[in-house]
Amino acid sequence: MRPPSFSFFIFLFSMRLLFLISPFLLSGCFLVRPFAGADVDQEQLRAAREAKVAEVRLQGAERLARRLAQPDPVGNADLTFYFSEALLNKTAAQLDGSTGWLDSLTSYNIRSVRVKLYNGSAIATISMAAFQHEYDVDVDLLMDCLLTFAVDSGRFYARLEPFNIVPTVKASGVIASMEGIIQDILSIKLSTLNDYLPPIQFPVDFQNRFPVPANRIEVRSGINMDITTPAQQVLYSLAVKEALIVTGKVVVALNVKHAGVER
Amino acid sequence: MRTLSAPFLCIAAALLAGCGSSLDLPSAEESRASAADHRTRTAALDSSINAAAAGLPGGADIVSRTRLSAVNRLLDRVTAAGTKDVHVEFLATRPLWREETTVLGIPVVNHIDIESGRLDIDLKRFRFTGTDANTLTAEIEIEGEGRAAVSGRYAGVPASASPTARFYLRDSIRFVIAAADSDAVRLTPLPKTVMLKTKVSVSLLGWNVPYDREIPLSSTDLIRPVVVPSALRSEIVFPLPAAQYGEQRLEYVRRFISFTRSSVRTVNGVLEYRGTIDLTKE
Repeated sequence: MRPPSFSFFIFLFSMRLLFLISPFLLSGCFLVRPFAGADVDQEQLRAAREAKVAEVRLQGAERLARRLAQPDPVGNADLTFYFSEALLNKTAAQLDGSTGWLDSLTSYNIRSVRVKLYNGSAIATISMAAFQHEYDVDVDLLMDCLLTFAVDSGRFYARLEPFNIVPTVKASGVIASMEGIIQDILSIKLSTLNDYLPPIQFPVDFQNRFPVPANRIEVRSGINMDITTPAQQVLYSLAVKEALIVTGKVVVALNVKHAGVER
Repeated sequence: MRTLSAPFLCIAAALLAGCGSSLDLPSAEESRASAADHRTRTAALDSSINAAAAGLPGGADIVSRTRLSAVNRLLDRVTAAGTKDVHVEFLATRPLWREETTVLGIPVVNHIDIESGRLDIDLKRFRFTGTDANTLTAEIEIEGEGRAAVSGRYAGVPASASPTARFYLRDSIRFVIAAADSDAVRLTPLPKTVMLKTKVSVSLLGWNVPYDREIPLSSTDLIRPVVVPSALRSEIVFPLPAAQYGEQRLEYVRRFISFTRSSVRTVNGVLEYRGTIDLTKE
């Protein structure tokens, strides 16, 4: 059997590089950086992941420190919610065990989502598995996601923005020899994972009603009279003033935006 | 093959150069040193942030703090919404006034009866002005004017009139606060007698009767318990990954929110609610 030619290796190498760079084209360097971990040792990857988490935490703490230095105190709003880390985890746990699809051949299963609240940043660690059905390849993933808060269509969400993705490939049979390439293929799919991750929803209602009940008093002293008051509803809407994260809690400050009375 | 591979390599090299050292993970030592530096700087910031955030409430799944000034702004909308906040319907009152006298030595009874009438009262002011432990104090002011249909007999001569009736009340009422069945806060007025000042100036056949009385009303009759909602939902339509492959990446499931271990209190002009939240499946 003739050994593979040099050009064949060049072809393989160039295809491999193409797979490696494709995620950059899809989503930029930041997210894909850890995908390069396919060829590095696990300790190097683990240390890089911890460094990135530490960097994200520092950036968040710096932003929060600047905010707290401003004269407007936290909680100086019409209504302020303080959501605990435990509540966030109860909410995020709704995702545990859920299965979704990256494409028709690649499914994923979220094993657990755990949220940790630091000063200035909320970091969710998602343990999940992606399964490429065509190649029969499992990829265990550990993802670090930054929670970013947003209001959309009257709902208050925390979106999950992955900044560290640590994949570990498990393949079988002859496919195992192509693990690296397969991982790169999967990496292309995973690079858009944040588009698939459902947001964590908070139960904040921005459109509210404050009912004032109807009343009737019968006066039979001095002058006989019936005094009645009609039922009224104070309708008001809230707008997010700011959302801050401090150790162990999320602070969401809201102001009354519009108010009116309905009879 | 070689000619095909070369462009790939060139493009790859150019893109990699554009991405800096993205593919060159730092060594484990470099990462550890970087992490240690970041942690040291974060710890320094943490101490000042923790000091600034020390007063923030915690210890429950959710704590909400509502400023009474905000509630007052909403109540101002109610008081400013119109001048017909309270309706008064006069019923037959016989007599409103009665006196026995003599005319030319003959005993007669002069009397004035209210037959009917109505007036509208303006809720001029309803504001929370103070807090104390688990009570709120509100000031209420109402004022109104209307006409009553009266009839009567003076010196044996029957007559009728339509005098002006005026009502006025200004007092303070205390409300005890308690957690309602869910996340809401219930405000229940404490029993108190408030006085409705009533003035009906009747002039009947030259007989002027200034009816000026304070009618006692119970605060618990005057104001019903009010439930202040907390701006939290009792259910969430929760997005989850779609279990089946298709156009929709997400599917939505309903989760009910139950509130337990609820408590409320007032703190420096703020109404504070705290409770435990649990999510349950449909």
